[in-house]
Amino acid sequence: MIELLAGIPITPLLFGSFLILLILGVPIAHALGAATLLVLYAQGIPGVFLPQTAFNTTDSFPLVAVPFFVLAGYLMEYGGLSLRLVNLASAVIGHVTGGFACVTILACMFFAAMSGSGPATVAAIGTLMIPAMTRVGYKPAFAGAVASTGGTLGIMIPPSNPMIIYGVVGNVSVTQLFIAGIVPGLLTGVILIAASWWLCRRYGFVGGDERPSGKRLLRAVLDARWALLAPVIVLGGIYGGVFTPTEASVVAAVYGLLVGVFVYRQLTWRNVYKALLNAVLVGGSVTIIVGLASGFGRLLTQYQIPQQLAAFTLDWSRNPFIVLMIINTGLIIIGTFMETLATIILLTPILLPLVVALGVDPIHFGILLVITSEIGFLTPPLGVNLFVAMGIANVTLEQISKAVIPFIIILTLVTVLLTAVPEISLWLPRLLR
Amino acid sequence: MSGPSPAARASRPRTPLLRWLDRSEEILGVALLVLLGVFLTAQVVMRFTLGLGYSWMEEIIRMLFIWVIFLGAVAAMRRHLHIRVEAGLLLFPRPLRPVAGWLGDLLLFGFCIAVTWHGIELVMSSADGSFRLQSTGVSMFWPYLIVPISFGLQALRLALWRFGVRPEQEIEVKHA
Repeated sequence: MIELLAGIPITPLLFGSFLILLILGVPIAHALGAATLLVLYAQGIPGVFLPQTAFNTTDSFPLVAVPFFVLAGYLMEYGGLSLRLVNLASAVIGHVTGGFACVTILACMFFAAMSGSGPATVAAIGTLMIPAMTRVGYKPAFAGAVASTGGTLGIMIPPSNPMIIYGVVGNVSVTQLFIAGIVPGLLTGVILIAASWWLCRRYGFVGGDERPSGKRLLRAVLDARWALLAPVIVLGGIYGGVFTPTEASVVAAVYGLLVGVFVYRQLTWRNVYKALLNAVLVGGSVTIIVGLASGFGRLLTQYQIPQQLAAFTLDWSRNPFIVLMIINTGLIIIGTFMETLATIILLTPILLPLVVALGVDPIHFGILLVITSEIGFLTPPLGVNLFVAMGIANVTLEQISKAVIPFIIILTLVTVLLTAVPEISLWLPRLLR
Repeated sequence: MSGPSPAARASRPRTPLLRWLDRSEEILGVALLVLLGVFLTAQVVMRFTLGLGYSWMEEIIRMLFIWVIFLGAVAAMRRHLHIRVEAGLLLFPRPLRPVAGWLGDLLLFGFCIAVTWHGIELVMSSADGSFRLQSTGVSMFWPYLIVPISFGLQALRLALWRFGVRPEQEIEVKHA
């Protein structure tokens, strides 16, 4: 058996066994580990290499932030912080044409500054805004599409779980990535608000009948002050160099707990347990991929597979824009059926050496991974944001997939823009460095 | 993939002790996560008030985290929440899908057993106490121990799932 395996070249053995296992429905983490183990056996390397690398990679301080940002997001959703943010967004732009759609995007931007997850942002804001939109006459499918799209900002506006994972796997500063996400995040948010305004005008969805008033705005700001303080503490702490992202994630969770229990008094212990359990489940299922993928990544490096890919690509084109656009296209296609974090863990060790060889800044590439993941959230068959929103809007996947097409086109244009102009992503980190 | 069938419902643990045991990895995982949160909060507070940072605390935090993660992997196996390409099995003709699913789970089971075995090797390599954490002096035996425990329990959970022991409530988890 071993002799037979040893006869197969490394690359087909590694990727072939991995793909077969994936098709058979084996979890991505375990499929990566099994493919690695097979190559280890074939090469006569002791199998203890696999648990050893998995342990060493998981033993990483930045990764601790993943479960705690998940926890913080749930606590802030259950604790009533998202409700205050929706009220505030409504007081700011609720009165304009298509106001409720714009409010949804703006509220998602606020929530994204506390949450590192796309679908969690859809759940937190969509639960409140989708019924509000349908009540004033929006088509449910369109309302769901708006919330799904706004929710994608959850991973661009920091904190961001994909950025943490990319930073750990690609050895890039998570703090720098968080800083880099601000300008593209705000830009994308503003573009999406403009787009929803334009779409609502075309479809004839009007705004709320409430008049804008300074008094109402002031009241909303005051009522939301505890919710607004969260991103100030968390992000201000990270950018000011006061906290590491990991410390900030814990501060965010404790803050969410305190405000939910003592200030808004909406958080029940049952929900706290639910939030903790979710953090454990997400932490376990995501981090185990990072662990089991590390052996795979080591083998790739050892057998120079990324270098071969880089050499092959550089022979063919040395134009960073063209190569990045091809990679983006591939990522968008993969994003239709693969889970975001798994894609990042799997492809970062293969693609990062290639783009670095082209002179692309790893931080810029991280932002491109995030924006293509945003599109992946919105494209069936695996469009996690759509799954969350269709449940709330009570529409089918087909209906919401059609309604979200204009937003996918816009995000694709944003992807081209972010690819062509690296300065959008790199300007702020360079300024603050 | 498929939800619990009526037959699966019948074989749920019946006594309170078994029901509690059935959730033990979740409860322990949550408890350790809370402990981890307490340690991290203490670390932040101490750094701000006293300007102190203890390397032994950071070691405990890192080891707690690994235990939480590897227990979380077991809990995720119990609830069938590990990230997979769900569309993969759809490539097979309909009558072959259950067969392919069984084959996948069999290979997955074999992999979990293999990692349990190599995990035991890892633990045994540190059993003489030669590898220790720098500040606390704890033998690496203890942190390493979770690796075979986790993969052994994952294999058990997979087998139980296949034979119909499934959680009462399903949970929607948002990964990214």
